[in-house]
Amino acid sequence: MELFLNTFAEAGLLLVNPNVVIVMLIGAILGSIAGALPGITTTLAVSVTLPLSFVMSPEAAVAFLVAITVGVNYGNSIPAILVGVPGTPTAVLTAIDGYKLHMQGKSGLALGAQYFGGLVGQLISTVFFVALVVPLSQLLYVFLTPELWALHLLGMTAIVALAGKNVFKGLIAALFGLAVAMVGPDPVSLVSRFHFGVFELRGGFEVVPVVIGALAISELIRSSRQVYSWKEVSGGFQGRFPRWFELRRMMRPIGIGAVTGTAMGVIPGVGGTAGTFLAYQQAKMWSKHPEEFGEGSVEGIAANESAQNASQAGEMVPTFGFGIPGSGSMVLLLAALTVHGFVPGPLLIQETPEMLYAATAGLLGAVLVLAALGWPIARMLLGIVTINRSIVLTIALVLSIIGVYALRNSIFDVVVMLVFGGIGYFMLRYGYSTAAFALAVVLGGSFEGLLRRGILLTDSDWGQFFTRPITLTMVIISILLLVYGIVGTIRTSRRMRARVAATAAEQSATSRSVATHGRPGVTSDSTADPNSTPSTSPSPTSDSPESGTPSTQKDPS
Amino acid sequence: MTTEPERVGEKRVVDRAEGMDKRLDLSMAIVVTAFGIFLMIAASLLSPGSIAGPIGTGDVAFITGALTVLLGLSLVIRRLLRWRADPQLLPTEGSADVPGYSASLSRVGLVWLACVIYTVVLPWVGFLLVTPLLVGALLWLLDVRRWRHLLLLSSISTAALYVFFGLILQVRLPHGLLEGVL
Repeated sequence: MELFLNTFAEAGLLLVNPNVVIVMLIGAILGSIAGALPGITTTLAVSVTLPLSFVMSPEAAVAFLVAITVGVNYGNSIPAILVGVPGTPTAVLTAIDGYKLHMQGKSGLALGAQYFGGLVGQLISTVFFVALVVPLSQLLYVFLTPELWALHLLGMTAIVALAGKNVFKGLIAALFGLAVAMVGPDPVSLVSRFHFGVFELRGGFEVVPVVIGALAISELIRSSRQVYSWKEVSGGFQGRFPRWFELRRMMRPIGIGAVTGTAMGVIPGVGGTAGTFLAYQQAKMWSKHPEEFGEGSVEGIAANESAQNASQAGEMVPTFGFGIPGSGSMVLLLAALTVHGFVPGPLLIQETPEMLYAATAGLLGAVLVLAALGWPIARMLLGIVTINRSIVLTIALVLSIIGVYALRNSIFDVVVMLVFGGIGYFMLRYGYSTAAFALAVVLGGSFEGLLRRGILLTDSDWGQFFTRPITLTMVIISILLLVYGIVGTIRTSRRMRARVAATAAEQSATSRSVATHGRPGVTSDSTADPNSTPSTSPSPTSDSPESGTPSTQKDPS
Repeated sequence: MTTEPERVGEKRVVDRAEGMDKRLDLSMAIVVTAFGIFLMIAASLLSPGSIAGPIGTGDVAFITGALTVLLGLSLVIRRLLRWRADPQLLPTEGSADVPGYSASLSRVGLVWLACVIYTVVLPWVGFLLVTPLLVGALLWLLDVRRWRHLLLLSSISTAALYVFFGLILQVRLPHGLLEGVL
């Protein structure tokens, strides 16, 4: 309890530090702007704004980067409501209810629910974050090398098993990340490995360029596959801010969202999207007006927004408590912290408790900033979503290049980032999880080091890695997660095959009817075109909230 | 939503915009398997190092390579076993495109290439000369075609980046051909 209160006290001290307040203000506003741009995820926002943190003290930089992530979560629902385009996948359900309210002339009510739900949810989840992360970090005092190794194994397996559609591809991505992490000195004998005569690789890859390449550049390059404009804003603010009785009605869904979002965020690999869907479904179940859900429900928006914001704090629990990030954006956040001298891993908080204080200050400060400025920011962001998408992609690419160059004034780092950006593009397109890859790159060195040093320390007793109670539990959970992932992959594969077969049969019937009667919808016994290829894509629907937005099938980020 | 008019030469790619080509998926699996074999060979050629232990310098890498080969082969076999039954375009397992808009793989290649060329020539030509060209090229590739916009955006963004990185953050941006001037 003392540590719990101490964390808030230290965070409070940071919140009265003018430097920290200014960077949090900038972070929350920049994050909101980035979030309002459809397709700009937390990962991209952190990678693009990372260079801004170079001039800050380590504590201010942590608070700044955390404030960015809070701002993104706030901002991404504004286009969802006003334009029907979710800024990120977590805002999909807000787009459904929010856009319907907007079209009914109640955008004030929808934005009010988003504002209130998001900020209260964030505030509640911040308390959960500290309440969970403090005991977790203390628990690590009893962890020895085998436990720490098992923790790494669990973190990597969770993200492989729960993220992406094909667990085999996720495993390959993680193994590739391990291989990349092995370039450079051997953690035990310091023999230089896999540098192939390249001088710059003798010390291994710098983590930040590799991670930014795999997570951010790959996504930016993938986005350049298509050129289109973000949807025109239809109308402006209409209606009023929710009244007291309406705010009271939102309290239950907000509570549900905060608990569900935090809980789902804590599990590595699950992420915010699953949390928002679960919270929405739960809120509907407990609501006195379930019929409003999907038709413009303020409770639905409040639950979704609360879960979305809470999941961010939830994802920070394993990231800060164990030093094991649970999503792509957290991998990048952790990698970004290495620039400021923090060492990722299970001892992160024990060795640098000031980082926990700064992260808590970042969460609380961003909530305060957005509570004060969120409403005018929402009005301002109405115009932001009409910015030319091509310009945003170009500026993000150039900023990433110069930002990575600025890390060490190294052209080689930029080359590394672009190479992994290119590889990451193909990984994204073909379902090899870039988040699993990036996580393995960040943790791979210590994963191998802990295993090998642990074996030496335990006199080659392999049993220590599999029989101690905590290691055994974590290894069993890892195996169960993998089995769960494999079963999920097989089921998904069967569903996909069934869908393809159904589409093929439908198209075949249509082509037969067209061939015989000259119009679709009338079947005949004539032979189908053997060369017809079934379409696997959904047809674009202009009313769909997802239309006009970049893919929602992303790694957790 | 208005659908963007198709441009010449993009028709072939448009058909692939919203699915996963099984031939490319198979190619990826083969590349993965080849990488695993390469890793196994490279790991087995490593010197053992001075500290002897039950797990040697290249052992973890060798196991990583072996697992990669196994998983890669499983993907190859899965694809080959269903080669005839599956259509050429499969539901994507990765990030899908936005439905209704044409997609261009060549644009992706050109954007990446522009960034690589920029990185290679940056030290020789200099930040202030080559950055406007990169911004202009990227905007052009992403269909911003008005010369006034291209010139304005290129020059303003380069100036802003120079002020922030070069002057405020004191990053040593390469001067290249302007070395004696700046």
